[in-house]
Amino acid sequence: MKINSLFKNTALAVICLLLLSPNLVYAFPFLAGADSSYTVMSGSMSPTLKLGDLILVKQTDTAAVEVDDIVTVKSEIEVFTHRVFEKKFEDGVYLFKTKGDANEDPDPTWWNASQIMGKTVFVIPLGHLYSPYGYTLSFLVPCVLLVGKQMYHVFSLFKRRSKREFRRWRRQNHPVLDTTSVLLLLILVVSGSWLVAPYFQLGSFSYFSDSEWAEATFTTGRWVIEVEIDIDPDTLNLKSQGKWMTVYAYIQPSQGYHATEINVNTILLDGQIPADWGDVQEKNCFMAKFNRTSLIDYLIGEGRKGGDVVTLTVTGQFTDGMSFQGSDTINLVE
Amino acid sequence: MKMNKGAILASMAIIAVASVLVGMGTMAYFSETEKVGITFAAGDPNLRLSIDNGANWGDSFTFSFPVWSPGDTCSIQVWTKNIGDVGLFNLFVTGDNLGGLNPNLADWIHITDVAYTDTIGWVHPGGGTYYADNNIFGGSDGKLSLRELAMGLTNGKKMNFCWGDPADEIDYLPAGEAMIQKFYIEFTFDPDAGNEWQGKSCSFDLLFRGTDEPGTYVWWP
Repeated sequence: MKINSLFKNTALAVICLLLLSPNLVYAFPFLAGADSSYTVMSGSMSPTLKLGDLILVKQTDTAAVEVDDIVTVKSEIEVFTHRVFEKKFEDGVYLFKTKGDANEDPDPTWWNASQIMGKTVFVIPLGHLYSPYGYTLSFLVPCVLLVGKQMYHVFSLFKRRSKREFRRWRRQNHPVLDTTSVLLLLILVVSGSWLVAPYFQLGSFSYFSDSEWAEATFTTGRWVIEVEIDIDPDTLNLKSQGKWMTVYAYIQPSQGYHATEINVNTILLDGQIPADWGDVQEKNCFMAKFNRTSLIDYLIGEGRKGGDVVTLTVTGQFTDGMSFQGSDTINLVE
Repeated sequence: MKMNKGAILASMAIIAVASVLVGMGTMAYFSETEKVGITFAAGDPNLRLSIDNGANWGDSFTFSFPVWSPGDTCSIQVWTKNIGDVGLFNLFVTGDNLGGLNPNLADWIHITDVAYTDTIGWVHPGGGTYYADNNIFGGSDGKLSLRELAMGLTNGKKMNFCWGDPADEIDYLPAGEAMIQKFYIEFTFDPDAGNEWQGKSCSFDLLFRGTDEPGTYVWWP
């Protein structure tokens, strides 16, 4: 009888310890050879990791972390656990791309070694508490058993109305909280605490995500046609009394425009001196005439003197508004 | 019968405590079920995009902006919805895969406006100050370039436009196509771009990433 009772008590103690072991391991992960422990708080690693599962993480040299390992990552926002999707070695460090098993696409960020907190080495599948069957078996059934047992206890007390029955009941020394009731209470506390654990305990997320994209292409147009410019004469005497400076603008056939399309009223020499008149020449060339005195006054005003080599830019527009420009150099003498 | 009464009271107390535990536990269970319904969902979120006001939906699109010149602006409006059976708390938008024939053109293209839809309609947040808080984007000119959007900075920082309200755990893109959210982004070709940028082209991916990550930052660099 005593051996039977000892066996029962030992069995109950073992069951109690098993029920309490997740809490112990959670608090002291080194008991399982790990460095840290987390509760899974999201479902993107399902079915591998379910909400409420306890994971034990061991710090690992990142060189030993391989594709398909489940790693816990400390991002700028928080801690999460995903599977290694890609690994590369760049600038002397390992970089990792991760992905949730339930996600269609990998996470967009490359994580460096300092952000990898370690590999998941052990999973305690407490997430079953969050399934209807798990909830019923692990929480509701113990509750019903405990309530039923206590109700039976009360019923038994009411049944023992005679003094003789009551004395016999006292001799049997039935405690209100017997071993079974304590065990049931433990089950309730452990199960109940896991149900709300994600909101109070250190957790590791594993996000659902989905990524899509729109490829966009930018193409720039042409807003200035570069034309070949020849300014005549090549040498300009600053004391010259000549009337004109002549500019020849040559347009290449591939540039899509013809000299007849040039609007002479838009032509400027160095952005300052307007063309007085112009005419279309052979070989798709446009000739523009500028007042030589105006140019000499402009150059002297700019501090130019004999011996200088000056680059002059000619700008203008075609009749459709497209701009053209080109430059040539002349020598100054006096 | 004193002992009897005491024992009855103790048992009744245990029954009461156990009943309260059952009640609280069940409430917690169903509350959890509602809050993290994703746990019991059979599938995944599934994002879909449209660049033609919802006429066509797909995983990805190719979009070509009109040929432009310095000072021109062009924009794109992308509609998003979630046809999966898991809701998404928030939506991140960023750039990726800068390429094309002349990727350096991206230095002369700037993001000048961004907007998104919310329950109140279109919102243009920040007034372009999304990079000014820490001044890590745009460099000295204070302009967020296409290169920075698509490639990030050398220190790994990358601009992510993000909307949603995971703090209240309300899906920005609920499952089952329950809501369409729209995103608008405007680009400007730098007015000071030189003639050497004529006839060039570059491309990039405008990346949309819906997640259930907690902790949303409206402008999260």
